[in-house]
Amino acid sequence: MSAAPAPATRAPADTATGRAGGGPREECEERGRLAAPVAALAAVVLAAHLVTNLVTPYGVHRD
Amino acid sequence: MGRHLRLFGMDFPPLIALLAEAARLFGDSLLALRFTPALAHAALVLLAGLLAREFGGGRFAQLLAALPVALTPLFLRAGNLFQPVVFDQLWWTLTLLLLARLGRHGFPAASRGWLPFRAVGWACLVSFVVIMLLRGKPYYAGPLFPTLFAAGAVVLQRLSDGWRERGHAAAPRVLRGGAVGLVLVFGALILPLGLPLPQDYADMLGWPAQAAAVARAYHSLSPAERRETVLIGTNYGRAGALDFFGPRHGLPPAVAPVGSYWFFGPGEKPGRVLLVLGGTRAELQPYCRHLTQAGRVAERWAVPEEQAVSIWLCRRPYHTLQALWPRWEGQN
Repeated sequence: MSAAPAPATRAPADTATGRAGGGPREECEERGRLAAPVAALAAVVLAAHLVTNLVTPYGVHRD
Repeated sequence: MGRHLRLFGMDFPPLIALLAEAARLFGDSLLALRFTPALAHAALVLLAGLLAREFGGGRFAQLLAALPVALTPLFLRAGNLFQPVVFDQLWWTLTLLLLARLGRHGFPAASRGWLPFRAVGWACLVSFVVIMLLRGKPYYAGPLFPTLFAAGAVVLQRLSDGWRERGHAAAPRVLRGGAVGLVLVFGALILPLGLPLPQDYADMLGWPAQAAAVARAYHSLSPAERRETVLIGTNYGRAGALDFFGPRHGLPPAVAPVGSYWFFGPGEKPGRVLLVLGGTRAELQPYCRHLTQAGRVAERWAVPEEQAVSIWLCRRPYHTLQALWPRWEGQN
């Protein structure tokens, strides 16, 4: 049987090394969650493209 | 492409043809056509952040990696056009993210620095050299940039944090602010410098008018002639315009003896009447016993070759399209 997995650790928001906090891990470190501003930026990008294509005076690109 | 599905038998990747066909389910609107590239671009922004996270980056590094992917013209352009480009960027970046994750899982937590990610570094370097040696177009290297942005952002973050730990207060702020400022200045803000009208925008103009002009010529024919008529586009843009905008004018599908269109074939009709969009009298005269100009389309802001396009009516051609088609193989 394999050893019980180490408890998941959550990385601090912005560390010097970027490495997660918590105790030592045998396999590899857990990474924190994706930063919320990145998700917000992706949503803005999607919305900007959609709005652009709703109101653009341009049409279909020949390529 | 979606109307001529031949997986792995064409000179474009099959996914783009499947997506084109899927987009048609929602009509031929620009929004429907460009929804999937927009979604791919948004996903690419997320992947850049995830890569920075994978390399050990915190919130600042993730955002710094994602910002140039969101804002630089290379990615904005790809995300706003229905082409394979943005999907190439997406799949490459996803692959490199998985490679980074594989690398990290192969190393114990005690491993420091970039050692777990050396395969990612080699993959980027080798790809870049291959693209250069094969004289690829500049944007071919685009799929590597989100990964490189992520790595660079993590390096910057570590540098900034190191300075802060050594007691410097202002330097980290200047470094971070400067990095974000550079991304903003060399990102979306330089777009207007491409004026008066970059080719991408010129490439989006003139096509509906061409289809409408051909439709006027087509509907001026007698019903008997219309049944015999084959529409020909003399380049893929013109043929694409007829296929995309033609149905709303009651036009039949177009054929074109050029590029990928050649593979779609001449169709069933022999072409006793040809309505040709583009070309010159001198080019068409050898094929037609009776050739007249049936219209002309002008669009000042289109790309140069599309600013003045003639429409020709060819009656009683010397050969059928089926006989001519093999001779036109390989034309662009």
